[in-house]
Amino acid sequence: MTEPPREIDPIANPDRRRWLGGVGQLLAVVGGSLLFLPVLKFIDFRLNPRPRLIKVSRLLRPGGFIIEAEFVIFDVPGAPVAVSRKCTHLGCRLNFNEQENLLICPCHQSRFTRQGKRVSGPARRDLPLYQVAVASGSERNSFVVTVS
Amino acid sequence: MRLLRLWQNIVSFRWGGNSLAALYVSVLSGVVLSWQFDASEPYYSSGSLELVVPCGSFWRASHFYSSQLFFLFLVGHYLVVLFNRRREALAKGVRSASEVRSGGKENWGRLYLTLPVSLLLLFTGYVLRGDATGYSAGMIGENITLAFPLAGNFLNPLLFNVSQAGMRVVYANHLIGLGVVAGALAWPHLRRYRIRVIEHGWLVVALLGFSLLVPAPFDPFRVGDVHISGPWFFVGVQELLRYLQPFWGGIVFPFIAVWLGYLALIYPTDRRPLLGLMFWGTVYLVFTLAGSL
Repeated sequence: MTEPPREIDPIANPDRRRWLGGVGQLLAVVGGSLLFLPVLKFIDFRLNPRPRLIKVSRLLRPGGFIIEAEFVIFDVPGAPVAVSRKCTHLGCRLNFNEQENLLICPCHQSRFTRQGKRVSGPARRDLPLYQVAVASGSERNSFVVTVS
Repeated sequence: MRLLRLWQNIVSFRWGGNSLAALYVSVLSGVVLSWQFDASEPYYSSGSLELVVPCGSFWRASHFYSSQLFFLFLVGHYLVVLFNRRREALAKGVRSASEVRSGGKENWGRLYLTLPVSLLLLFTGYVLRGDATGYSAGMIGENITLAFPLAGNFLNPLLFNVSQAGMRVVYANHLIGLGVVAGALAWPHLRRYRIRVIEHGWLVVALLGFSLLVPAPFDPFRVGDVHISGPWFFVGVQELLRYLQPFWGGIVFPFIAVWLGYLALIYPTDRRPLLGLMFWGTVYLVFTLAGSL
């Protein structure tokens, strides 16, 4: 005659109690982490800023430039271009050096052409270009730049 | 003999007390400044304080110079404590590091953290100027924070986020966040060592007098500028960033100094962290000089 299997009382068995406690803690950690994930995803998301239209009412001379806080409008063959003044290295504000005909970062001396192409320095990427529209009826003295 | 006396004067100078007195001036002048300073227009606001607002230049200068002095005295305080702890530990013939660590009432790790937090307070103050130096420092600070592996996107909105939020976050940190953190870290120490400002009256008078005569620096944006130097303590990092990626130049390299400084404090009998700190300081000085030329 076989004996019925004995139930192991977890309270009477400290090893089993410890093991169950460990499993409980593990489940709590996993569950907590799963709950934390949506919080992290929410915080980590970066919404691109809404594009802004910036009106510039200044005369752009042939071969010249107009310097604004966020961009420079250059008169290049074809149509004027607006080049971002934010350095692609660490975000410092670029200045246009007329002697070198280049945009230069005052922080780490990265250099860019009037078309935003990187020439030298620690920056690795070209500068973003913004869309420029010549305001209707104006004689190259009124522009709308879409900064995105 | 003279050198010995000079050294004794340096060691017995009340670095900590003077640092705290300078901090009082810094906090009070900062509170006064906050009535006029507008973080949504930092450049205009700083310029107006300097040129238009009555006594604005004086309050700006007293806040600027007292903050610099607070930090310099704090560094001096740290170095003298380091020296004294090493001398005492060697005199007692302490053998193991754990023996040194367990002695005394101070929580050295907690106290030591006030140094980097104070540096961050100083840095955010520079950024808030909103001038050519401040704006660039803010953008560089933001990009260094973003270079933190995994945590960058999370830390940046907490610390800088200049490109998205302007000076809002930096101002909140400068005015409240970092101040609260530094205060909480130093609280047990400050409760133990109290000062009477009257005993540091000469310092307060000298600071206010100097602030009356010498305006705080302000660097307007100049269209053709091709070189901007960051805050004096940041020039070396700025120069390093010309050659290294932000992670190595802006995070790892400064962190080495912070870590060595901590090790030197908790293991005063060990020469290695001290030597490492001196070597780091020499390298940093070379980069600072190269960046200043």
